Parts: sequence; C-alpha cells; structure tokens
Amino acid sequence: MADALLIGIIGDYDGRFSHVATDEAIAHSAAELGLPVEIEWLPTANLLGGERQLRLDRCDGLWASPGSPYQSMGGALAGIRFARERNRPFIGT
Amino acid sequence: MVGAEHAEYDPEAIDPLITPIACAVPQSNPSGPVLSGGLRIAVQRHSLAYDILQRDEIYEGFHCSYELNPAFQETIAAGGLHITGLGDRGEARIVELPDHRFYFASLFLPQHNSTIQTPHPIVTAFIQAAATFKKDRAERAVPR
Repeated sequence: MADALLIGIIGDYDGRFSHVATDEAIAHSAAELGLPVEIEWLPTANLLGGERQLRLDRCDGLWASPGSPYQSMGGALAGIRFARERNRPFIGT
Repeated sequence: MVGAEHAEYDPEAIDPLITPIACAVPQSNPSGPVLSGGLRIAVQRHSLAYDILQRDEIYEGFHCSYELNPAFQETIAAGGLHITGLGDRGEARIVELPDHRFYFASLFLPQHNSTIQTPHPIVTAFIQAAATFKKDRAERAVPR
C-alpha cells in the first residue's frame, strides 16, 4: 500500500511475547488513528553495512525493539543513531 | 564517552553505561527478570511523556534485568538526553531528546499495556509523529 505508513522495528524478531505485543500495539494505535500502517522488522545484522541507509530511510518511524541481546549491538546502535541524527520519529522500549 | 558499554555484552567494561538492575522489586518473579510487573514511574513536567500522558505518575509493565547506570545519569542529562521518568529511587525510566521531533525511550514496555479497545497513548503519539513526518517528507519532495 503506497499510502501506508512504514514503521521499521530495529530488532531480531523471534516470536517472543514482547515482539508480538509490539506488532499488535502498533496495529491498535493505527486503528485508533484510522491510518494504514505497515510494519517491517529490521534485523540488526543488516544495519551494519552500506545498505542500512536505504533500509532505514524508507521508514516513517523507527522502533528499537525489546529483547536483548541484539544479534548485532552495532547494527542496533546504527539504527538508533540514524533516527537521532536525521530527526526521525523514534521510540525504544 | 568512548568506552561506554552494556554489561550484558561486556561484563568487564570500564565504563558500564548499562548495568544490572540495582534494586530488585518485591513482587519480582524469581525465575524471571529482576524488574517485572507493574511499577510506578514519576513523570516529569515539561516533557514529551507528560504532554502525552498528562499525569505525574503512571504504572507500567517492566520485563528487564538492566538499567542505565545511576552513576552516569548526570553525564547523560548534561549531554542533552533528558531523564523524564523516574523510578521510586530516582532511577532513569524514561529518556527523551527535547529538540527532536519525537525521541522517546523507556525501560518499561508500553506495548504490553495496549489493547484494541485502549491503545497505549505513547504508541499512538509515536504513530501520529510518523504520519506527520511522512506528510512533511512528501511536501518537501514536491516543490510548489
């Protein structure tokens, strides 16, 4: 859906409760706002290389997921740094 | 801080920025993380958290074993990251960047307190900020 918001979740999805809850909470809020929202999980190891700019820049908001340790702390920090330096909506929980 | 480290990744770090929870809570499940269940947070005025929640005190669900090292709270605040939510002993529970369009991080999990009937207001505010950003970006991309 071209008009949908894209929320990128920085984290390594493994189906644990807090990951499922993150997807669901986004859907709850999107429904309340009446906004179409798509979610894309961004594995932390993919945020280390040169293509990370592209992956992160597509997103309208970035969420640093719960559930440590991340597969790549460096990748997670790179994603969070992108949000901070580029003034992108960011939440970390 | 060049040597800032997370104790879960490097227990021998010289500057452990993130350290094990210093003070376990009474209702803590012995087999679960040190900080679990619903706990009180004092929300500081003049913050994004207060703007959204309009309350001085909230109860939120935690599920974690590490926190910001209290020894670095002053350094963090001096660096511009505002600590806007505090635990009962003054521990950092929410941090924000005030000059950012929306930058909020918490030790608790607002997503665990969201239902389809009552979405969490912090998550809703984040999604709204993303929608505003998308609109701003689209307007910048198309010169008028």
